[in-house]
Amino acid sequence: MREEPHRVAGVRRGIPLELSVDGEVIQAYEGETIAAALTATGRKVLRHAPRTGATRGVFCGIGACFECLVTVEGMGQVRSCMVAVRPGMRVSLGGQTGPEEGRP
Amino acid sequence: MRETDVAVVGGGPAGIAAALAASRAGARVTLVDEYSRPGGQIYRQLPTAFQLDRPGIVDRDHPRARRLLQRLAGSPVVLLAETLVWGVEDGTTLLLYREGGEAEALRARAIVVATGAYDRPVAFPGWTLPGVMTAGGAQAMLKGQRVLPGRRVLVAGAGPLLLPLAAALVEAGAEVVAVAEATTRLQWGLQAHRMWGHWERVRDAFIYERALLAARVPRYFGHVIVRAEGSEAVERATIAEVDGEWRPKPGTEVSFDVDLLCVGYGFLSSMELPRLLGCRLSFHPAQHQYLPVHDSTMETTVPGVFVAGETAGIGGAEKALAEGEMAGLAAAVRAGLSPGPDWEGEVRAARSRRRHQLSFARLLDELFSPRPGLYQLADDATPLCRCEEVTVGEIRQAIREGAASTAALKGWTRVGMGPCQGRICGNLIGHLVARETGRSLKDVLDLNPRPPIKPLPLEALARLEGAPSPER
Repeated sequence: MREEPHRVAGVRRGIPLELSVDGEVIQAYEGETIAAALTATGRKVLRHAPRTGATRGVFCGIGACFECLVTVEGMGQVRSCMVAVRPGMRVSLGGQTGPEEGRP
Repeated sequence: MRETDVAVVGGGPAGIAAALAASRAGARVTLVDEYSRPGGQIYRQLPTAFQLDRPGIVDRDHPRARRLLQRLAGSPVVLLAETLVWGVEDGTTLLLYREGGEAEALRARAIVVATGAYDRPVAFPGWTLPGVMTAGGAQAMLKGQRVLPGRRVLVAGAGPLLLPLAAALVEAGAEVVAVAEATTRLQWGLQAHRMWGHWERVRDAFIYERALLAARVPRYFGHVIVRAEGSEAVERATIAEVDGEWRPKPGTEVSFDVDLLCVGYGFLSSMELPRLLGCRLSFHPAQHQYLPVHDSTMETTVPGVFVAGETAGIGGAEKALAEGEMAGLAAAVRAGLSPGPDWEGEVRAARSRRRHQLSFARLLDELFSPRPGLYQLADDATPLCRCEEVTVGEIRQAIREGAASTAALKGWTRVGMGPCQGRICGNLIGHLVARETGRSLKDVLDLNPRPPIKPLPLEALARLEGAPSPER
């Protein structure tokens, strides 16, 4: 089995599946959240804040802060810590926050 | 429109205990939970697709959680998972939304709010960098996903939850470079006698301490986080020794190369629903927050609306279970049910368990209540409102120009108007306004949530009759 330094032993995960992140295919497991699957690949930067372009990533981890927003094809912007991966899911990172792009 | 006798919001220990108690009393109960599986944070379950092979330190609550969750699964309680309560119509109707679905209303004769808490936000230079996480967030990823959010970790904060997190990180294979606790060993020692009778807590602490000792994790007492640095994500974190008011002492800084910084200075209760429902709140000085006023059955000042668990004040899972039982039984009575002949005995027993837990909660409040220095770590360039990227300097400027409360600042600077609705920044801004204007926190914490309390797509509202239109 391939070495997966961020995935901890002691559990059997769900069936392996693939999703695409900005066009790159990554492996995840049924039951994982998008945030966990991204973290497991070592990705920490999930987006850039709209005003300053500062990098942002998973912060509260429990759905309260909305820092971990990613764009999922067909779903729009979701909190990656709250939404489970699905086979073939297409995720894009680096997007702007909130429904108010283009505000002054 | 769905209807139920008792609606319980939040699927943690308090909510589950409330739902089971109300159901036992004969009520039709609907339990609404935002997560895919019930359990809340402390009883967080693995995804259904996962199977646990070897329970570890991170699973210490597993047996208790499993018993409670099995009782829930075997009960007639209707569970609405992955469902957000985003607003209320009046004291009896909750507005729901399920991801990808449509908004709908749930009318109840009584409501139990058990929406829990989240990590108390603390702002310092670098706190918005990826790789800086709340202690609860890191714990959730370990406990619920078995994914390690970093390999070299500094844990900084105050209170009993740093130890299980650090122990879980070590167990998962991370190198914990240090645990920085704001209080001192001496302060702990002076309160040690108050642990008498709380043997389960003593045993837990012993297990975590032993794990950290075995892994030779360096411990810093009387130290707080002062800054995080890195280009794209955190690379370096710095702590410093503090005085009795948690103000860093010059020349005492210690820096660590890390790829994860976990910050946990206690919790804030989720107050959105009690506020929306119009419950009267009172200020809790040690917890630095407003909490719902309630009577001995956990009923708030709004008839038929109850609170239980962390929503009623920070105090842990055992307090939450006791309060859930009290609230659930009383809510069933409010809904017109007549519980079994022994229900008053059950309430008395739960009340006594609650009292026992409250004595421990008071100890934690006194020992770990944040001191003023914690709210002075951020400099003028530090964003305080993460959503709208409003800095301390910009907020201070607005205060000088006349914005004198958190609510006034909202219009002035957009703080609290982003998707988190002030959950993260509201309390911090209150502290800043209080310091800048010389007023007390109690008088400036007035940021009110507006529906929807968490964002939802407009099209979800299309077919909801009579719902208030969402404001921005």
